[in-house]
Formats: sequence, structure tokens, C-alpha cells
Amino acid sequence: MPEERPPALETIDLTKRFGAFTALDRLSITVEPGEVYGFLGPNGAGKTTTIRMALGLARPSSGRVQIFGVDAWADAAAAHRRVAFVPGEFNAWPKLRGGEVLDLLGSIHGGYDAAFRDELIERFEFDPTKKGREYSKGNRQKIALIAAFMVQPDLLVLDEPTSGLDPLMEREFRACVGAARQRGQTVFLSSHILSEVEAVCDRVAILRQGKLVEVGTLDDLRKLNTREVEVELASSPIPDLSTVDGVEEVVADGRIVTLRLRGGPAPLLKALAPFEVVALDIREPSLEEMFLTYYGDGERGDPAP
Amino acid sequence: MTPFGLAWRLLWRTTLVWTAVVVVVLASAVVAYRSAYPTAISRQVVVHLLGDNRAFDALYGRPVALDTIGGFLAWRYGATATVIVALWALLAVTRMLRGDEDEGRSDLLVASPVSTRSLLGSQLAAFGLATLVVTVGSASACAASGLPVGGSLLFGFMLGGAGLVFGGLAAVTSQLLTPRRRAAGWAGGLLGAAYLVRAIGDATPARSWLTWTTPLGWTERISPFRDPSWLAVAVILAVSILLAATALALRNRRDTGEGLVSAVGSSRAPRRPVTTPLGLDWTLTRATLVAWSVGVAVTGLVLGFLAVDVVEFMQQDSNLNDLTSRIGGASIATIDGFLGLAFGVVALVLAVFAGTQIVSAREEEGSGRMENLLTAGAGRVRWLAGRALVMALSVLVLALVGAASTWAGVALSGSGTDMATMVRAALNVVPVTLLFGGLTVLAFGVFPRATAAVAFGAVTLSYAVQVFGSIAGAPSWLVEVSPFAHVAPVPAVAADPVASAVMIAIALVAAVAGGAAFCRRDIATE
Repeated sequence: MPEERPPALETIDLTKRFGAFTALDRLSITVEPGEVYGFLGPNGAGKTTTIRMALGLARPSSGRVQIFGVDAWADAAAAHRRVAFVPGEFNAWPKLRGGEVLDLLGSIHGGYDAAFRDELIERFEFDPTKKGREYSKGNRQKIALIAAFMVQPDLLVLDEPTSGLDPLMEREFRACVGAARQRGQTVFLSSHILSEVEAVCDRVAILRQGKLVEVGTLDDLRKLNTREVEVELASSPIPDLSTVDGVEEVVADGRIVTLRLRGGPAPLLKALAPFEVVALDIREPSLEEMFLTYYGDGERGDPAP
Repeated sequence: MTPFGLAWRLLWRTTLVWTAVVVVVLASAVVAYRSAYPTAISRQVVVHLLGDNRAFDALYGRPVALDTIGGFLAWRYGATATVIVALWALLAVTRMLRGDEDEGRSDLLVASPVSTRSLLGSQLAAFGLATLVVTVGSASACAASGLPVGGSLLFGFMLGGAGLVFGGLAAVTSQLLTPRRRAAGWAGGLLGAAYLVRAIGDATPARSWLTWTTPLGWTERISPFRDPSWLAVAVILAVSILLAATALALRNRRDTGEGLVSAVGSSRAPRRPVTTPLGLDWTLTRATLVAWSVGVAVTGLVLGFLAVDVVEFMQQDSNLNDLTSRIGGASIATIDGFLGLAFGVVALVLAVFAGTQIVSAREEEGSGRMENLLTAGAGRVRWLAGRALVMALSVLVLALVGAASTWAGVALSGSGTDMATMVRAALNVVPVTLLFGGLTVLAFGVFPRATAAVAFGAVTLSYAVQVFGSIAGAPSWLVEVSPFAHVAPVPAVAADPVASAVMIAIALVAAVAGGAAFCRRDIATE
């Protein structure tokens, strides 16, 4: 019998409408305990809307979100006990000092390890003695990051958490996420920084116009994506490759054929076997190209089969 | 859209609302005067009686031409209306100049090819247009009531001029101070000081030159309906231009988003840690409560101090006594009667305070700061209940401050009343205050973005309906719509426990309904 462990975060047909506009349309994703899950999509795709519902700040129009099996809306306070959140833009109380904010948020959460807090303060080179209005955007963001990591929650919900951070702090952030994963914490990361996602995430989900378009490991996504292939043949006439399984957008220019290949290369290689191939170049798509395909309006064909 | 158009868009709505309030006040005042003093002889009596009372001089200013409707209007309502317009001006200007910068909204405009100075110039010009609307609006109200057109225009300028000067002052404090609260607070403090200096100057003939040192003295000296002072008009215009020029000159000496006087000097000393949402509420409210306590204490002292003088005067003029007693429901020709009316003013102040507390809760939500608490594990119900609790306790504190200061004011004037009576009178206005607090919670729960409009709109309308409705002899059902009409003027009469209980019950029901609605809705950021 496999152990019955509820997912860290699960959305079930989650839908949010604002009047006639559907911001999120029947989203169903599952974040397993202990994984680092990337949440991607262009602006306005519904990422923050999803997160606000996962935190019980907004009510689903239909469907639901569960945090470790607890309904995020109906039982928000219970769900929050296992979650810490870092918003994209942390607004501090102008009158409170950074240290006081950490103390307040940590106490509300139910306590924290002061030594670990001090370690994080040092890591992020944060000055906790200033008042809220005196911090720069990046430094305000550090308050939120330290407050979230220091309570060592079971689930970290991060909504573009590194906006305003310099590259050194970005590196510290990645190290903190790595350490959290080591401890078995789950991380749900919404981000536009693809290198960040690539560096820390086990799986990613891609959202576009309120709908889920893809979910999987980065390797899965690469496989689903088309690769660019260039074939140089010794002599014409060239064979018709457009009927081969997985081949698209064939362009022939003299003895050189370029095409896009979806899935494994075996069918293409078989089709080329009778011919004398001078050169064969298969280029993996960069992450950026891949996401641009997903984000864009799908001109180059929907990557998902 | 031009910068001017943008500024005007921010201004026109509040301009129209406040102008409408002033127009209603003026129109009801004309009705009141005609009903109280219908004949020439009765008006001569008014001149005789009102011409020589220091308490009234202090409250309203030195009277001129009381035997005419215009003179009475300018005297009895001019001072109040100028203060109302001045308040509007400093709130509107600090919102436009400082509020937008605090929120970072102005950065894009500042970064545009429009220079910061011409941007500020456009904003000030838009505000100038707004004061013109106030001037023309109130002048039209007077002229429509049958007053001479020239005098009406000058009277309108009396109000618009107050807007210009205090708007100009607020433009300068907006360059000096940050955030908006402080810029508006200092401008408001200057308004209070101007009122006090004018009151002293008007009440003590030997120091009447003092009135020429304050903007509220200039507006008073315009004397629109008899022997108008063009010097006062010129001074107001000159000072307004000077203030605008000062603001423009200061603008380029400071960073956008900052004030010339920086907020340094905050001590680094450790203080007691804030570990709960309730503790946070208290930390955020503390300074506000101290400021309001000072305001309530001054109000109580002044009203208590004036009690004896006013009562003496009222005993001589049965007409005016009759008129004012309609407001509170009891004769004010006795000290207790006047104090009953005075605590009506305290009720108004406390109701506004209760509103500001819930409005600041809404600001916590709008700015996203509340989310920090909620996602850390604070429950919505407990958070809102904490805010409401701090509001209610603060109201109680302010009521007791009002009791003590009024008692002290009466004692200072050489008369006497006992402290227990003052405490009873103060506690008697707490239920109506909580009622408005509860209604604001309801608005917060159901229409969060309209919290401030409901909080201040409901209080202002209710007070206006009760005071001006009863003076002008409006039907009783209309007056009784106002919760203030159900506050017994303690100590003149015994408290009305049924009315108090009903108000507290409504407050609780509204607050619970608001809380329930809040728990069912999305968190609404700005």
C-alpha cells in the first residue's frame, strides 16, 4: 500500500471570473510534497490570481484549492499554518522597523528559530534596524523572503519573489530554495526569470490566458518541443520528408533541408537512411525559445500534441 | 490627457460635493434667519444683542450688518463655511501633490518630458479652477436667495479665498513634509492656529490687530455685505500667489517622493516587540489617538470656557435661544443646556474619528499590508475584530478626555460643574459614535472601495440634516433619520437608555454583517 499523503498544493477545476472576464479557467494542477514547482506564464495569464486563491485571499468562482488537503478558502487559517508567502511587491508598515516586522510575522505564524533568522539576515545582508519607509524595493523584498524562510514552513508560495534583488542576492535566494528542498519543504515558485526556474525547479506548469497549456519536468517539455534539424545531402533530388512522422515545416534549399522535428529522431533517420547524408545538425531549443513558443499566440503550432 | 486635465479629474468630484455641502448650509441659514427674525424691529434687536458678546465674537468673528440677511449670513455661517472650505482645500491639495507621490503614481509623469515645475504649475492651476467653482457656487446660492449680487460674489470669494490660501499652504507643506498624513496634519494645525488667533483678536478689542495676522481674519474682514474691504481681497490674492510661487520654487530643491524636511531622527532604541495583530493595531493607532486627544481637549476646553458667556447672552435673546434649542431639543439658556449642545459637537468629532479608524483598516487592506498578516496565519475575523476593538476603546478614551477638558474649561471660566455629570454626558455620545463605526465596518465589508466615502459622507450628512434641518424647520421624520437627532442632550436632560441601546444594537448588527461580508469577499487591493 502506498502511503496516502495529500499533495502540498492541489487545484481542482479552479476557476475565477471577474464579471464576464474569466481570469482562470478550470485549472487542475498537483504539487507533490518536497518538490520545487515552477509556475510560468505571460503577464495576465492568471498566475497571481491562482496564488491569491491558494492563499485564501480570493474566493474561487468554482472549483477549489487545497493545501495539504485543507481547503484554502473555507479553512484559510488552518492552511496558513503550513504556508509562508512572498509577494512580488512587499509593502512594509512605514512605522515598523524591519526587525519588528520579522518578529510580528514570525510570531503570528506560531514562532521561529531566532538563530536561523539571524543567519538569514546575514545571508541577505539585511539591516533590520531601519523603518519601513526607509527601505528600498529590494530591501523590502528581503523582509518578505527572510520572514518566509525563517519559519521553515511546509510550503513556500513565492510570487516573483526576487523582483528588485541584485544578482548576489538572487544567488542567495537560490541557495535558500535548495536548502529548503533538502529539508523536505515544498516550493511553489511563480517567476519570469527563466534561468531561475531552470536552476531550481523540478517541474513546471505553463499557463496562458487562464488555461494550463503544459506541465512536466523541463526535460519533458524539451521533448515535447520541436527541435530544429538541418540536413545536407550529397546530391539532389531530395526526398519528400514532410510525410515522415513528427516532421513539420520542411524547407528545401538546394541540397540543404531544414525542418522542425517533434518527438524522437528515429522516424526521420529511417527516412534518410537510403540517402547519402553529408551533414546532420539537430539543435535543442533554448529554454527561452521554448517558452516564447508557449507564451506566444501559437503561430508556430501548438507545441502540445 | 494633459497634466492639467489629469489634475482636474482628481479634483472635480470632491469640489462639487463640498460646494454642495456649503450651498446647503447657506440656503438653510437664509431660511433660518427669515423665520427667526421676520421683522425689521426684531433684526434691530439682534444687532443690539449680538453686537456685544465676546463669546460669539470668538466663535464666529466680529459681526457686521446683522440687520441684513447677508450680514447675518456672513457672520453666523461665514466662519464655519470658510473653515469647511479650508479643510477641503488642504485635503484635496495634499492628496493631489503628496498622496500621488507617496504611492509612486507620479513617477511616470515626473519622468515624462513635462518638467516637474510645470507639472506642479498645472496642478495648482487646476486647484485654482476648483476654488473658482466654490466661489461661484456659493455666490450663486446667495444671489438665488435674494442677496445683492456684488455682496454674494464677495461672500463667495470669502470661501474660495480661504480655499486658495490654505490650498497654497498645503502646497508648501507638501513640498516640505512626507507622507501625505504629515503634510495635511501640519496644514490642518496651521488652520487650527489661524482660527484661535482670529478668535482671540475678535474677542479682545485691544488686540483686534491680531485678526490681520491670520488668513481667517482676512476672509472675515472682507465684510462682503457692508463696506467691503478690498485690501483684504488683495491680501488674500497676493498671499495665495506668494504661497504658490514658494511651492514652485521649493519643488526643484527636493527629490520626487521626498520632502525637504526629511523624516530622520527616528530613534533606534529597542522598544517592546509587536507580536500580534492587535498589538500592531495599537502601535499604529497610538500616535493618532494622541493627536485626536489634543484636538478633543482643546474643543472641550473652549466650549466649557464659553459656556457662561453664551448662557448669559441667551438669557437676553429668546429668539436665538429658541432657534438654537431646536438643534439639541433643550434650552441652552442654562449651563447644562449649553453643555448638552457642546457634547453634540463632541459626538460629531468622535464619529469622524471612528470612521478614520476603519478607513485606515481599509488602507491596510488596499496597500497589501493586511495580506502580510493574513498569509502569516492571522484570521480575517480576529484581524477585523481587533481593529474594531481598538476603535471602540479609543472612542471611549476620547470621550473621557472630552469630559475632563470640558469640566476644566467650565472651571477656568469661574463657574462650576461636577466631573461625574461630564463623564455621563460624554459616555452618552459614545453609542452614536459606535453606530457610525459599525456602519463603516459594514461598508468596509460590502463595498470596500467606498469605505471612506460612506464613513465621512454618512457622518457629514447626518449632522447637516440634524443641525440645519431642525433650524430650518424641516419635517421631523427627515430630521429623525439622522442618528444625531436621537442623542439626548445630556446633561440638560436625562440620558435616553432605549435610544442608546438601539444604537449600540444597530452598531453591533452592522459590524457583524460587515465582518461576515468581509469574510466572504476577495481581498481588494488598490
